[in-house]
Amino acid sequence: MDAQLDELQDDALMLLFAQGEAGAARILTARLLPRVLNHAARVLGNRTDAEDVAQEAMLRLWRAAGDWQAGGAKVSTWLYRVTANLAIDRLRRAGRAVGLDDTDEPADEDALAADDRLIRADRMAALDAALARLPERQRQAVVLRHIEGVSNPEIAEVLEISVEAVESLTARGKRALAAALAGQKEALGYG
Amino acid sequence: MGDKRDDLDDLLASARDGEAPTDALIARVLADAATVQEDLQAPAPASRRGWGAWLSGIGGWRGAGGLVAATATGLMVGVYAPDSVDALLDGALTDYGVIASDELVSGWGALLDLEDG
Repeated sequence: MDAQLDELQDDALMLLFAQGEAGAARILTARLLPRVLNHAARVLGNRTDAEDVAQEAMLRLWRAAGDWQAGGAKVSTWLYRVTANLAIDRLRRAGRAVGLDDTDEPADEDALAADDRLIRADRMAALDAALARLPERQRQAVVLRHIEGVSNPEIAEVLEISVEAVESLTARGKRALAAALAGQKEALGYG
Repeated sequence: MGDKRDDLDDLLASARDGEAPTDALIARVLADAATVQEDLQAPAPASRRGWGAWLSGIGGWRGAGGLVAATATGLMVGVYAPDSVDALLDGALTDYGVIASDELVSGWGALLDLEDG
């Protein structure tokens, strides 16, 4: 049954979910939860916070199913938007949001503590640290574009800005990331 | 510079395959889904039908009492009105033959006579 459901689009699964099809929840979770969690983890730099945000975003998705309009908003775009807003709220509550002109050191040092036995962990920690120094909108745009592989028009919908603004954010964000990581090539295993 | 960009692209690409959600997180998400799904499937509270719904619509027994009183008053006004209006118009209705009899409803005249004493 799940194999048949897996062939359906997300919005069709939303409608089936609202009609009581339990398999729809499993397929949507398998498709969307990893993306939501990864996005939240990269933006927040903290796995526990990211799990909380991902669970809350998915809960809001389930609650939206009853009123979901087939052919309307793309489910993944809607969910990314919810996740982005939840992540920003959490950053602001924790006082960890970085303003447009701020370049403070990332406040969450725990997020930087990587297991030095694993190169991948080191790389991800360095990336998280560099991402944490970006203003929140740049960070969201860079994560969506360059890590999640979301298209610029879709990012524009998620962040509710123009495509041109997305292009500007991602370009500046990537330059800032390159500058932040410039002195760490060896540490990152690229030396 | 191009070298640096390639490294960054590699790093960003490697971040795409983030850690998979734990079984515990998946279980929590699916438990939330099941709870919401139960709520969505729960039948809406049955609405009262028939007299119950009608009674509820007019404000319960208190509303029904008011409605009965208003109906009775309207009926009595209908019975008595020609006399009153004719009196106000100084008998014009009788003069023009609009009112031929006090007794608009057969049988009510006796009641009126009784009231008059």
